[in-house]
Amino acid sequence: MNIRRIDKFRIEVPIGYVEGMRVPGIIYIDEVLEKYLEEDAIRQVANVATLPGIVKASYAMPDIHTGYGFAIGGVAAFDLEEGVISPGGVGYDINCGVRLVRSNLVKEEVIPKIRTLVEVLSYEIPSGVGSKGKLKLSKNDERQLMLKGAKWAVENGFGEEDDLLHIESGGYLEDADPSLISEKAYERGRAQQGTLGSGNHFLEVQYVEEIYDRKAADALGLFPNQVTVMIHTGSRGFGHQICTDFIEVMARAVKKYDIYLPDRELACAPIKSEEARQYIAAMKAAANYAWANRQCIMHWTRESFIKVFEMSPKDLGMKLIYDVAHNIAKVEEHIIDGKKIKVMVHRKGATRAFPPGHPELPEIYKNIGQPVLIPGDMGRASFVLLGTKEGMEESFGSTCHGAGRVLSRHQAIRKAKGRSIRRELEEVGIIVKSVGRETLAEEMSEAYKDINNVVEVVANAKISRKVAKLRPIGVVKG
Amino acid sequence: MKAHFETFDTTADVGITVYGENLKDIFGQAAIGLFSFITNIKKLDTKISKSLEINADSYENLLINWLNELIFLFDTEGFVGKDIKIKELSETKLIAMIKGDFFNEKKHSRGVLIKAATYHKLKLEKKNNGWMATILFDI
Repeated sequence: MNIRRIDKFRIEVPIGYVEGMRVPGIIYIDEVLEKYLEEDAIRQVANVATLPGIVKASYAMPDIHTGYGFAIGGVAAFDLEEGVISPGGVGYDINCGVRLVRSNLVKEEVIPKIRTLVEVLSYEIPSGVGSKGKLKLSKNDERQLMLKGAKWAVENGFGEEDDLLHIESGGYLEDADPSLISEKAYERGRAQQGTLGSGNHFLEVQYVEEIYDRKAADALGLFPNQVTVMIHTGSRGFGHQICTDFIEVMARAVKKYDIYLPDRELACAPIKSEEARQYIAAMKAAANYAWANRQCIMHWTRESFIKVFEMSPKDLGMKLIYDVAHNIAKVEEHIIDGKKIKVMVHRKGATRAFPPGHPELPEIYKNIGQPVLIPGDMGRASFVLLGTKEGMEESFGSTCHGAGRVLSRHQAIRKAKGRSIRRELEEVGIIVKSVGRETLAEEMSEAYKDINNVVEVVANAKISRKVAKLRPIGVVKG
Repeated sequence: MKAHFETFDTTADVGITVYGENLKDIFGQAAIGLFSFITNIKKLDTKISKSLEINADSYENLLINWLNELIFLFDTEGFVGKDIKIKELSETKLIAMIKGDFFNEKKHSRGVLIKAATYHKLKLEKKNNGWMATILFDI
């Protein structure tokens, strides 16, 4: 069985592409991006379709690439009675995600001071391999943080109560259980709260380059040339350890419950099993850890702006627009075959994109739909999108999460040989700071698909809609 | 065959292929391969020694657990190894002595941040003249 193009923006991976598929696969992709589509990634979309209890289809977004078990960019929902949950469908970096902060500043005010700002930000926010956070957490602090997420951060002076209204799930998931977290995860988490990490994680100072929907931009408080800050990071070593721990637990569960798996990294357990209950409660702890992390980093970002611009918080107006998770599994209500049912939605490198009127949206966004934040590479752009009714009906209210790599790190380093990526970016008005040996070469624009193409696909497929394009002027990388 | 490793990368991640005469070589070289992603290990001292015992129910699981333990050591203590002695190795148990140093950003280069060793496309095979393993890391 071969893949089949359904329309300009979708292809189908038919039942039979791999043995045992229960539902088809649907990949949102146009002909431009299809040339990057790896066969391994298609196979992974098909493999997910073999898992027990999967409903409707195994989806993948246009930024798809090969991952572990599930493809990156994958979305799959499972029936709560018959379905499974898989750590491979969430990823190692549990609740890796993005937040966007707006300001009252315009780019003309920021550009003269951008070098200083980037220096201060990179000094205040620990990043890179081997970096340690500024917070010294006791075991009890860690426990509280696991339970309360961003709320813990706000209660401890990192940000404002109002921030919590602008975070997916209010910045924490209930029923996280610190008693299920391994000693190792506690240890890895202790020193890494409030750190950015490395690789594709970043903190970016940007400005609003283009607005596609004035009314929606108004509701989000966005206007042309306005300076924004985007933060992309996750649950750091804490989440990685929880995933590592539970892949082992799930490998045993697969034998115990006699689940057929085409790939070992799809290890999973029935949602109703004890193993699943434990993973879910641990995953929630990691999700909360990540929300606290982005909250702390945002707090230091605000402080850095206050220092550099010598303005009051009120005059700076650095309000959180929204914070989204793009590696997570959640129980949600969706309409399937005309019936409203609860399902376990896995999003791995995919973003929730709920439509206008959804009960989980904060009051201020009820009319426009959920803000969706899509980071691109450090040289091009990032996007603000909104969730749509069509997306809710079609892809479990999900959309893409970023650009997705096209070059491996070595290919990128080879391509950057003899060039100064830092200077090239400076020449187009982007100041970057990175502590990594080869980070700038690895992360250069050419290493990624063009985010504009990715966003065009999800917008044309109507699973989300465009509000604004943001262009970087200052980048902090690990 | 001299035990050695080669690194490679996929579009989004990195991996190593390890060659050796026996399984002890494989486990030792896999560790060196992992550390070489984190920093330039030539610049490391060997003043710190660590002794580790790892348990699992198969060689494959033991290999992944061993590498994940090393990732844990780096993440929590900043420890990076350079000389690895595999003292004991069976299908269920590994005992190793590692000499290396604590990562110091002023002295050591920052390489790639490794999240975990994975089972994705994991290979551990006996070849005509020795053993070979392939391991992919999530980064």
